[in-house]
Amino acid sequence: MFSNRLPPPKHSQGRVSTALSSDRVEPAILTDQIAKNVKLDDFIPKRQSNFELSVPLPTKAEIQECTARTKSYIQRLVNAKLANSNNRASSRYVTETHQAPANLLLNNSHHIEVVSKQMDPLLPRFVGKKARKVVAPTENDEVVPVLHMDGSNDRGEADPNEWKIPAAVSNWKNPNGYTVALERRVGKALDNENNTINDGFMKLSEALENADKKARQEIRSKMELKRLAMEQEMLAKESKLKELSQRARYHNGTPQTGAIVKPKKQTSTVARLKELAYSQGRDVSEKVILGAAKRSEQPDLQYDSRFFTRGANASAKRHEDQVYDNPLFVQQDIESIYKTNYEKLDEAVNVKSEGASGSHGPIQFTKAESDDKSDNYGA
Amino acid sequence: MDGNDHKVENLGDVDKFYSRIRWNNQFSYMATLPPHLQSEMEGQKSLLMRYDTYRKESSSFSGEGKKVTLQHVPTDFSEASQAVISKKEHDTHASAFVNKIFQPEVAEELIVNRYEKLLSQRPEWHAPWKLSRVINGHLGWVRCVAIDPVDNEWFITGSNDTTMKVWDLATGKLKTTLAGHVMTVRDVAVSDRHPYLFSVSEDKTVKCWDLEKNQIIRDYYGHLSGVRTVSIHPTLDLIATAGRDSVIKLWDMRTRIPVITLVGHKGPINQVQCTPVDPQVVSSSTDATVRLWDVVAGKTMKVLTHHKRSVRATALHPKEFSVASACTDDIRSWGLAEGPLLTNFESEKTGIINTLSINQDDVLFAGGDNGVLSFYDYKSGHKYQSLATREMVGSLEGERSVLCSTFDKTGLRLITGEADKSIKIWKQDETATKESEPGLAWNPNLSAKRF
Repeated sequence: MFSNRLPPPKHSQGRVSTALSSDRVEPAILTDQIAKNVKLDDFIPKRQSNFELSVPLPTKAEIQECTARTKSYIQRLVNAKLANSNNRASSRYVTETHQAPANLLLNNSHHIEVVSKQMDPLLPRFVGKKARKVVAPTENDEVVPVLHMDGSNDRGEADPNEWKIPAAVSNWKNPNGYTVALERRVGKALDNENNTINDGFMKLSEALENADKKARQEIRSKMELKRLAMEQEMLAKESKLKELSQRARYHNGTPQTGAIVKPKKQTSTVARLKELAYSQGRDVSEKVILGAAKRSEQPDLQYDSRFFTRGANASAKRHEDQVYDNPLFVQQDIESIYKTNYEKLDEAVNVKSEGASGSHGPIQFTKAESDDKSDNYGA
Repeated sequence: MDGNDHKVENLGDVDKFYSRIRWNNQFSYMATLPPHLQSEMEGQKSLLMRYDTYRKESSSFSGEGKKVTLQHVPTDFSEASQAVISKKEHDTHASAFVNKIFQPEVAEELIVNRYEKLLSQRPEWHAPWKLSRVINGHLGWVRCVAIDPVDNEWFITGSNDTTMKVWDLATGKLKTTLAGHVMTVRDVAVSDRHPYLFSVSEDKTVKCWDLEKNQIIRDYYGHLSGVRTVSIHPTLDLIATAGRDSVIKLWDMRTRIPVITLVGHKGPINQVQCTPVDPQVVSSSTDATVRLWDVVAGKTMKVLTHHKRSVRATALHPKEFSVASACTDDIRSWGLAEGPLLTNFESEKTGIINTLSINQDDVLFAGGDNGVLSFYDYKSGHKYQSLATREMVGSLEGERSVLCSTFDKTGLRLITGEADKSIKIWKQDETATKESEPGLAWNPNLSAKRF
């Protein structure tokens, strides 16, 4: 019923059953009749004093005798069951003799054939019924002495502690918001020796820190090197440019003799554009170049927002009391959002000016007058 | 006295305190104690202490030959008993020695005699077993295994994956797969008189397979719950099945009628065995009993209530009319017909035992739920080997568990089905001799008499 590892529930009065065998058997060993039948020999292994104790197999004659006896018995049973199940001759005929109701015009006695219902052997037989998993033992079998001790003492002393379930403290849920002490949450960390931090953790964290430091240093030095290289490159570029400019300045004074400077042709914009398009390999049409291709004029259309809202709302299901799909003056409201309502504004200004002056305006600072007094806080 | 100073907590302490004072006043100055006190003190000594004093006494006056055997100082009881045995072989006057140690005036005469007899015998030596082959193929736990009883050429295994597979014993190759059940196949039995195979399953069905066509030819309907075990009657056309509905049903093979239903167990039945003569059915159950049934009378002949816990396995001896049964930490063997206790095996701290097998060389194998294989000498109950199975690569350590076992017909190979979905075949080490592989120490004690 209950595990004997757990404390018995408070409401239970009866003894907690410990043995696997049923309760019906256990107290019976106390009665004289049973105790008389229990002998010391039942506990003493026969082979312990003589290993060569022979337990012969049954002889052929014994086997034959037993087989014949059992076979005839089984055959009888089988025949009976076969006759019962599929032989119509075995069906009983019952003569109904009771008085039939007067209004039914039947004979006073008629024959009813009682036949046992044929069952499909392939169908599960217990459909609809609650399947009984275990067949209860018959009540009339004799009581047997139990020849073993209570099962509770076959474990060592240490084991019950292992079985002890700690107080029901969930690590996952705390619906009532109780504060749960940390050592409780961990479970059963009973011995404090194990709770000290392992030396390995210190070593590990130190090593990790060192590794991190080293990696950072490396990255920094790499960056430094990169920066230096960039600087040098820049310097080199600058000096080169300087040199070039100097050379150019030098050459400006004495123009090159070999080069023939062609005068720039005066060309029209159209020709230039054509040339440009040709040089870039683009196929630009004449119209574009001449500016003939114009952007198509688009009319400045204005839509009423209601078109959209109505369209969007068209399929929406409305309450049957709601006659109109939107308020009557919605358009006015929309238009009046960004327009200044001068009347309202005037009203507000009037209210402000009528109220206590100075209370609403910006704070005005006045010059402090007590200049001549010595500074209290100065050194 | 300083004893007066500190507070005496309870009556026991008071008693102890006064007895110490009395001891100091009366006996502390005596060179030799009065004989009645001396014997009482002797009685309080442990067996080992008494053995030590005996050893000292005997070595002080015995000859050279004895001294050699007694040089070895025992450190614990097992070594002490080893020394006892080696001494026993030299000493013809062992009874004097046993009497001295066990103090016949305090101990029962019967126990002394039994111990003497126990010491005078040695268990038979068996070669140790080792793994020879691992077969994979099932997709679930291998729950049952049966050997071809006629030719010893193949064996069949049933599994949690609802299939049964037939394997060649010599090569370990898959011969065929039989599918028909819809839940775990819990037990199979191969008939040696018909070409039939019977399988039972947790889906409440018992099926009869024709091994010539590899087809299901009959179904036996009637169990109310999952069926766990099947056994074929050795002489009649009957099969016995039992399971979670805690009844044994005997079916007529041909007509499929449940001829007899044996009611009596109070819990699910774990295993049934059929024998040719009464008791024709032996069943073990989770209600911690083994029952021997008289089939014709339809009731129990004898109920064996020595076991404390669910009796998961039984095994018949192939050469003698006895049966072994096992519950957690406890294996016993029983003579049949009357059911006297034959042997208590040295099975303490074995854990849950799932399966038992016995071969014709008097080796009893017990497969543990924690994957420990233990081998016993059947006659003496001596555990001579204990080894742990190795889970397959990719399996968890928790899947190390032996679920079923059988010896082949020669008794030279052991087939086990395990929770790591593998089938393992174990063989005896042929090169081993008694000297090279003595096995676990023979450590006889009367505490094998368990309650």
